[in-house]
Amino acid sequence: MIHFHQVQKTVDGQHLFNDLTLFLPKPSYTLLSGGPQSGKTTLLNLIMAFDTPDQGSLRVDGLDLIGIPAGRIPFLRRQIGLIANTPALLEDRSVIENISVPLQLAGFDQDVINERLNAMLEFIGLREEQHIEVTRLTKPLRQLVSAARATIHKPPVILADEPIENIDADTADLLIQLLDQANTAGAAVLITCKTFEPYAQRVANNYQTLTLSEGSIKQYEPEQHNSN
Amino acid sequence: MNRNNTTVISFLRKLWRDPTPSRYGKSAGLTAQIVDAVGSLVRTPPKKTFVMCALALTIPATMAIFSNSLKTAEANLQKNRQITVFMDSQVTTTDASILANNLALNKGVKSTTVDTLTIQRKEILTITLQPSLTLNSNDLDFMVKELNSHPTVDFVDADAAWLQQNVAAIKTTKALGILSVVLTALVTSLLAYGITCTDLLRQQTEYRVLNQMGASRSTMLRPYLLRSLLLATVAICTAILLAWGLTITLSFLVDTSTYTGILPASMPLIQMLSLIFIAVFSTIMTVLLVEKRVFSSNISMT
Repeated sequence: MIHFHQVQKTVDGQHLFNDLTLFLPKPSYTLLSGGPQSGKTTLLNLIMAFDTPDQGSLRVDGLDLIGIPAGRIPFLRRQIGLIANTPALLEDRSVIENISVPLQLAGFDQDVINERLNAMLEFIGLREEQHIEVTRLTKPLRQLVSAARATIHKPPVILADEPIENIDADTADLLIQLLDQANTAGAAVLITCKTFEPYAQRVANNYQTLTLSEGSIKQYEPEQHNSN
Repeated sequence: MNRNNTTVISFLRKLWRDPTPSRYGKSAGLTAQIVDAVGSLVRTPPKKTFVMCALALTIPATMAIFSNSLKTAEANLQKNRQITVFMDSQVTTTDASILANNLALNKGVKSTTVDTLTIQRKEILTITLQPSLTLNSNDLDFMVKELNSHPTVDFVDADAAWLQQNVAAIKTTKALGILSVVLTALVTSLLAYGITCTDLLRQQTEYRVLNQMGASRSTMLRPYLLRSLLLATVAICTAILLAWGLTITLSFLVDTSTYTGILPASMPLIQMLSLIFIAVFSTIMTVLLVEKRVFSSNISMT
């Protein structure tokens, strides 16, 4: 699903990745930790085709991102649900308008859009606030809207960059539940984080933990965690 | 009537706020996108920005009215550029007309008119000549001498010095008129470019978010193009109204007896449409040319 093969990447003179190799199949649930400036966000940027590796190969859902034509990149990004560390929402739009955008871009029928929107708003508890402009929401709720938007169109890949940093516990639980549901439906979920503990407490599905350190991925105690 | 109003309001509200029908992607209809562009403009930019845009565009709109005033002034100068030939009292209208027609054949004469003037209760036939701009002072003197020696002519009223000054004034006015038209077009284009760039920059975040979600360039471009066109069109129309109001106000403040026929000049419909066209065209070109530079395609999450 996501396959990094001997990828090298230098950013601002800093050698971030040194023959980095990583394979995330579908479905999979991966927590990736790393220190500051270790390259976690850069890794996600590469998957989203916001940047390109200096060397090596990178394939996402069978698509080779090295030399990908610019016209194909939007199609790639529609296959990926992204939850950024700081929620990137359409500021002058309402909650429901923000959440519906991926469905519109994917070309779903209006009936399907309505059905999924109703279900999602019910799940995240924002049915009453659906017409409120997102600028009027608190940061945790904005992050929740961002997560809802990232998962509503059931993309095969979901990337989350430290998604539950600085949000309250209840909202964090709800957010992780969304990711769990997406993983259960067959998505490859990749979450970057500073530490595993906040996620270990919440993730219900099986997951693996990896560490990004010194330019390469290390299996962080290559164990399978099972919540049951 | 009430039911129709309610239906219209609820339809607009539905298009305005609801995500149905789609605004993005292949299924987005033009009507929905236009209504969305209107809604987007109402939500942002701030009212101050719109007012500044309209005020800025008042400059070329006022220049357009000024160029009309120059045209009117030029026409007045042309009209006042004339030689009056007073006919002898025995001359009939027919004879005067024959002379007038002969004079009109002269390439130095633009037009001739036979009139009757009443002076001290006496009706006197006159021929009013409008000399062309190419008639130089030597030819003018010769013409006046010939007319004075004509048996049917009593007196020729022609101020050669004034007529030469008049030529210079007409040429200057014409040049100013052309210059003001060119400047108006240029200023309108530059202002439309500035307004559009400013608005595009304000939409950068939204554009990036859509880019992150996988919107194609055409999907992203259409709403911004519609929005920019709406902004430019509404701003230039407001500017035209403001400029027109300004000249009406000016006509009350300035002694119009001195500037009769010049103030206030009107703005013909064709000129208004030309200004709007220039603003719209400049906006479209700005969006197409600047879009890639303003909205970097390689954006990151940080």
